[in-house]
Amino acid sequence: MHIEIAELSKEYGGRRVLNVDRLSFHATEIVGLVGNNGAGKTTLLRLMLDLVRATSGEVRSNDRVVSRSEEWKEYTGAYLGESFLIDYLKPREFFEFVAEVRGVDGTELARGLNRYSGFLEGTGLDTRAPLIRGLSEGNRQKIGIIAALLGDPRTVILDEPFANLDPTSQYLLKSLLREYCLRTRSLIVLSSHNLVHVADLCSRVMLLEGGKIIRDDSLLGREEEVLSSLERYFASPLPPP
Amino acid sequence: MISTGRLVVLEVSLLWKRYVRNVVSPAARVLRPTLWLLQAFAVVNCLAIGYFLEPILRIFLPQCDGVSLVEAHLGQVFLAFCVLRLFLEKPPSLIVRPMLVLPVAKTMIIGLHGIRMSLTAIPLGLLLGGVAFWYRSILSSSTVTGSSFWLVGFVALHHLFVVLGIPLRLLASDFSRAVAVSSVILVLTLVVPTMDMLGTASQQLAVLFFRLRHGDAIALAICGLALFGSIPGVAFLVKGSLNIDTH
Repeated sequence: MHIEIAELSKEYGGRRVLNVDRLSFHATEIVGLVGNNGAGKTTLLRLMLDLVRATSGEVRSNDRVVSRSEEWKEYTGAYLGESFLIDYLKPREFFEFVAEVRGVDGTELARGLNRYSGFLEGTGLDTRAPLIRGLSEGNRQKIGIIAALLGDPRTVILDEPFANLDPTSQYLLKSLLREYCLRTRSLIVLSSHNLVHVADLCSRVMLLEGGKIIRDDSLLGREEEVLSSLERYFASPLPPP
Repeated sequence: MISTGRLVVLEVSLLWKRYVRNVVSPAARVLRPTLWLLQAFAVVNCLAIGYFLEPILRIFLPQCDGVSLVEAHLGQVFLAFCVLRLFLEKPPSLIVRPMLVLPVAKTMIIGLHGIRMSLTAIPLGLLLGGVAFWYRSILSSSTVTGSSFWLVGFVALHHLFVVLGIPLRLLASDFSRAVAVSSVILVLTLVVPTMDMLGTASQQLAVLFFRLRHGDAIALAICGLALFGSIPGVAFLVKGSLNIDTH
């Protein structure tokens, strides 16, 4: 499982918001994208999912160009925000819908939901549960994240997964993602503003600024060092290029 | 990838849940009952005029043009109905977005969206077509071809209105503004007599649609324009379905 990015750029109204020369992600990696607002994190994730058209360049998932192929969708799970939920369904109905589309049978779905039951605490999985739109933002976030993991996709893309979660859920999510990556040997790419969580969870961190990747560090055995360095950077960021 | 048949079954199930759970904006929660009242009003009025008032007028006041009365009335109801529907539609990209991160082919997403839009148009077509057919003094002699023009025209116009509704929804995204706008529309279309501009426009619309049953050149032109007008709308929907670029 790998994703290759080559000469990728995205412009909006003549303004270049992303410009990545060459980049690759590999299985068993948990990659954290960090950067200030407007740095290009979400744009990069959207381009990786073919949700927006690149101005130039391409993204390949397992050697398939994502904008010209759809096979990669079968092994890719993603959650980019609550607009990707079907808010008039109940949580269980949404999971059943996603499972059905992904070809996950009832037994596997039950096993998956049972595995993540601790994290899903409070979302309500019974028939009397409220609709997704009636849940808190944090609980909606949990549902979207777990839906992205249903069927054990080999690539998982998450935009700001820690946002809106209470502290306990944030810690549960970290252990859940760590366990998921080990169990499925998958690739997880996530963006976050929380440097501590990124340093704690990820094996690699990328710092984006002005649409460019200005740092790409391995965190293995260097968590403290990289975290300190990132904190120093964000405390006094360089002027945008 | 999921099979087309299975996805269609899932889609129908979603549509049904969406319908029964009344997925609408806060503004539409007020507008939806208004819409139902308007429909009931239209049916009752057309039945009353068609079955009772017009024959009575024909006997006692032969100089009164009952047909024109109903034409104008239908036009007003139709206009109000379409305008009110603008607020009840979600932007297409919001509906298709969950599908975009699931293993569903883009062509299927587009196809399903077409089906979804058609399904939402059917009740509108049935209602207006049904009202028209009930009105025996206007459509008792209509042909199948003429009636088809009615329905096709309404469905095409519906698509057009839905597309027009997206920017309008943005303008009236605020609850109180939406209620204010809809109230003004209701007053203009139902209370202000046909001499005002909106009334005249709706009357003209009704007259043109009335001609549809005859299959004449104007009727064809209107149908053609409605269909032509829906082409950029459909293109917009497709673009909205595939490109959720909101940067």
